[in-house]
Amino acid sequence: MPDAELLRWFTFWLAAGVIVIAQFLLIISAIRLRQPTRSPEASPAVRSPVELAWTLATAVALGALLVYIYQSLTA
Amino acid sequence: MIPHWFRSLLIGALATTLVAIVSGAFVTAYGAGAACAGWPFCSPDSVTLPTTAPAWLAFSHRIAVVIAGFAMLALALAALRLQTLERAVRLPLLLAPLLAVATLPLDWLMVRLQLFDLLGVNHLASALILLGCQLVPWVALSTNNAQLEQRLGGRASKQARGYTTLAWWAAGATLVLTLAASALPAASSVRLAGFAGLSSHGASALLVAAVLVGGLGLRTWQQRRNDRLLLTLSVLVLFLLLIEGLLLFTTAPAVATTVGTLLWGTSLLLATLAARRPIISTLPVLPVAQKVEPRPSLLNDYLSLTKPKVISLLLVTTLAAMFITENGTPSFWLVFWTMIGGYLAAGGAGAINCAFDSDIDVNMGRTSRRPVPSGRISRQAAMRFGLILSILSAIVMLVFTTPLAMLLSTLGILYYAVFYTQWLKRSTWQNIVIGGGAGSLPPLVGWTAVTGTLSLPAVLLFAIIFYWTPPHFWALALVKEKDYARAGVPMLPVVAGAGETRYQILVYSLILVALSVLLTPLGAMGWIYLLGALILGGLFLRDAWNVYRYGEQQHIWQLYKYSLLYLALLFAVMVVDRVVL
Repeated sequence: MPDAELLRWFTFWLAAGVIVIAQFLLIISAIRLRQPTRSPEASPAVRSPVELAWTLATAVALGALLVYIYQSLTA
Repeated sequence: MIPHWFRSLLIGALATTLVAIVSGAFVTAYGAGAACAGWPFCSPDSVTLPTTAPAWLAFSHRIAVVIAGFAMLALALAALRLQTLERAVRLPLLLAPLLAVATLPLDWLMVRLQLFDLLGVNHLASALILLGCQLVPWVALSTNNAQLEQRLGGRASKQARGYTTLAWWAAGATLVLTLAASALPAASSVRLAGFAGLSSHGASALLVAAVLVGGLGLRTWQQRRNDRLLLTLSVLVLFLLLIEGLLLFTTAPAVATTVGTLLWGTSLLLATLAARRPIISTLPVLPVAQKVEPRPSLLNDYLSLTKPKVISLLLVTTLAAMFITENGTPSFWLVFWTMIGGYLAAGGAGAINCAFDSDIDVNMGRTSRRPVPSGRISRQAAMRFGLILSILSAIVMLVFTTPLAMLLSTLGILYYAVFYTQWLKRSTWQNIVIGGGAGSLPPLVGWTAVTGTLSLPAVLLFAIIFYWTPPHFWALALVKEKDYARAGVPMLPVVAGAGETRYQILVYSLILVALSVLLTPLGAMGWIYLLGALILGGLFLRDAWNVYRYGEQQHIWQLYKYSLLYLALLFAVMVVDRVVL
């Protein structure tokens, strides 16, 4: 049914677009927060490269999930 | 002043709706619907009265429905005119005809296409809700809202709200149970081995209803036992639930539906009265100086180490995942052992977390009363307890479920108790983002317990909970920022401030809602789920936006509380979608 197929792709691309933009904003935030304004005295120093790496890792994992979903839709 | 005729009309409508439901139950039970295939008369071609007993049964049911429909319409018109009616009376009466009109096409389809097995449950559901739309106004008209006039303290008020909420949940569970009981003949293909007559849907509905109604009975005894009426109704609900539970094991759907209707009505009565009856203190009034906070028992302390409130939400996601796999409805015992194994795994991880985190917990108001920081249980004992539960969980999962489910539940324990607690929590502001992976594993455990393998929809369930975690926990962290700072935990609000946290809450919420709708294009869920996910996600985004835009405590609490409800409802909608479509 073409309408159902269209709706499927529309939902996918809309969701994927939102996810990509939002994930990009999170990466920008992680870069911006490399120099945290505050840190609790009792805690160990927050290491900014590690923070950025975590953000990138989740972005890559989410990207892979989207690609996998795309492949599944085209299969 | 409410006119006398209005009350009489309401009682008449209630009685007719009840007759319509009970007669409908007998029509279904005896398969009499097929004998009356026309509309509005039984013969599709001519205007004649029925000639056989089954046709008369079905025709009588229709007459009862028509009378109930007219009474409902008259009540709605009267509710429109009578401006003095309170909202609890007016709103349900106005909603009732709208619901009836909305479900009319389905009812017509059911009759004309003989889809009694497929649409019979929807038909009964709408009838039971319509009954509720008349019962609640009747109770509201018959009683004053005494709680409005009472000046309750904060604690008493919170307790009263909690009791009422539980009563409504219990009523909802009895509704689902009644529908499950009525659907037994249609669901005969999924009956459980070893339990003649009991379907897995029926067993699940009975289990949930028993937990909620039992919990309500306990709370009634603890908080409202001086109110004889509430206490009597609680006992009656428990009794009817027992009867309904026994009827599930038999093949008497008409009786089960009738008893279920009484159970639903009584539960609804209890829930409505719970919100209106005056609060009578169940405790003797003591002078302030004599008030001593009771020391929890050792059993309660050990139970609290397992963090039962957190586990309940994890188990909801596990349970839901088990019902939406491509393998269909799981067996009762598989569900049972997966729940037991899941509780042991999550409880074990929680206890180990309590042992490791006692130095942090002692500095935080929210956690300082836990058994380990307050010295009631030693760190070593908590650790031993956690390890024992973890080992037991691995054994239960391996013996009764699948090796992959065991592997994932054990991974969850290590992830939470070691990776998150020992490392992430103390070293990075991304602690709850990456640590969220531990809480995201339960649906995978449920999924693999049924299928033995992982697939794309299961990974998507993982991702949904993963991206749900930051908005949920950062809302709490915003409120408890000082606690976290004092304990030296680098939560985002402590490290980067409230503004950045509010912004990231909004961004993570956007990803969460976008991920949640992907299950439909993937083909794992249908349009019912998509609609539910959009509505629930829309409300989530509204709350996240309010937190971002205004950042007031009330908005943050609202998001925190709604996020809990959101996750439970989202997974519930998945099950509904799978059961219906």
